[in-house]
Amino acid sequence: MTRGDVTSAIKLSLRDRLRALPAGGETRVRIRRLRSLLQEAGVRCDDTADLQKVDAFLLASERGVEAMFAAKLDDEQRLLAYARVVARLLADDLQPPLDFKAEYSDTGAAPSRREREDERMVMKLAHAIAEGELEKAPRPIFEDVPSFTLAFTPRSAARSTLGGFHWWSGYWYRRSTMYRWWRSRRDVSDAIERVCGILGRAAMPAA
Amino acid sequence: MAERDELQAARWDAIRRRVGAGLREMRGQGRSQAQLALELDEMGFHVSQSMVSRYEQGQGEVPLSLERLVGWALCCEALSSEHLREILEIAGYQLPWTRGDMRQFDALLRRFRALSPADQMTLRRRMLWHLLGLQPKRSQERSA
Repeated sequence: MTRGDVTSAIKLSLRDRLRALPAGGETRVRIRRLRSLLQEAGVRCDDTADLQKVDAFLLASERGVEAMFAAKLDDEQRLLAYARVVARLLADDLQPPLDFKAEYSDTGAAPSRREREDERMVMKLAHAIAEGELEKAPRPIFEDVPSFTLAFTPRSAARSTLGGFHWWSGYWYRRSTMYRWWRSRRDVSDAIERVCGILGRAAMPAA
Repeated sequence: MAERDELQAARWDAIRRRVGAGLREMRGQGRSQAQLALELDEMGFHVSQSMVSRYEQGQGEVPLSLERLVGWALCCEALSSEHLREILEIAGYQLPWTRGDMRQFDALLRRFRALSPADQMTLRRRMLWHLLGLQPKRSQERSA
């Protein structure tokens, strides 16, 4: 096994399964879905951790990945903590050989400015995951998208433009609170869906 | 005493002073024996302040297990120290991590110093498992 294999394999598995995850239902059902999602992707989950200022911990090493959730959480908090761990695995990097991330109860408690910014992004993504509204977050987080490359034909130009939009969206989603707010609006996500559809059709080879 | 036990005891007699000196260096000036004993106890090792003192003076009668040695270094944020490397070497233990890895683990521990003691303890217990591949005992087993 090479270093970094653990989280990258889990990330791919989560992306595939998350898109097929049903939305809605009671909070406990949604918690169970996210727990199963993590466990099926190979993450060990422990709901009984004695944590005080942290809602969840995520630990990853060559020995595996595990998520610990504070025993004190109520159902709503637990659902969000599960969603935060899923979001963290999807959108953040866990460095080999061993890394851990804390999901603080107070989201401003992370020690560095960079971590607090990551925390805000993870929180926004977690809300989209918990509510089953993945369209409110950039698509590259959940699926493979075209990349921004040099383009010489109308078809490759369409693909490259689409890739550029995705890159731009992912970049600002990680860095700007304003963009995250804007991106999570229903009318914006609908408009983006339409633009992606038009460019996607233009980029497809003719039948 | 069985022959194997005698051998182990003789081996421990030969190294315990050097191990003790290394343990003392790992703890350093900034951490009291009482604080370390408390942290080790919370990790489930049943270590009192007098035991910390005896081991540091090379008077501990029972050899320290790999789990306790690494737990000691974990509590002292001294996984990357030369002292731990020496102790493991003379005790005949080996960890599958490089010096660079160990430095990264210490940096992680320092990064989360601001967490509450309970949160840090949970993290250390799980980190010990990841470092050694040993499943931590549950509280009932620890108190048995």
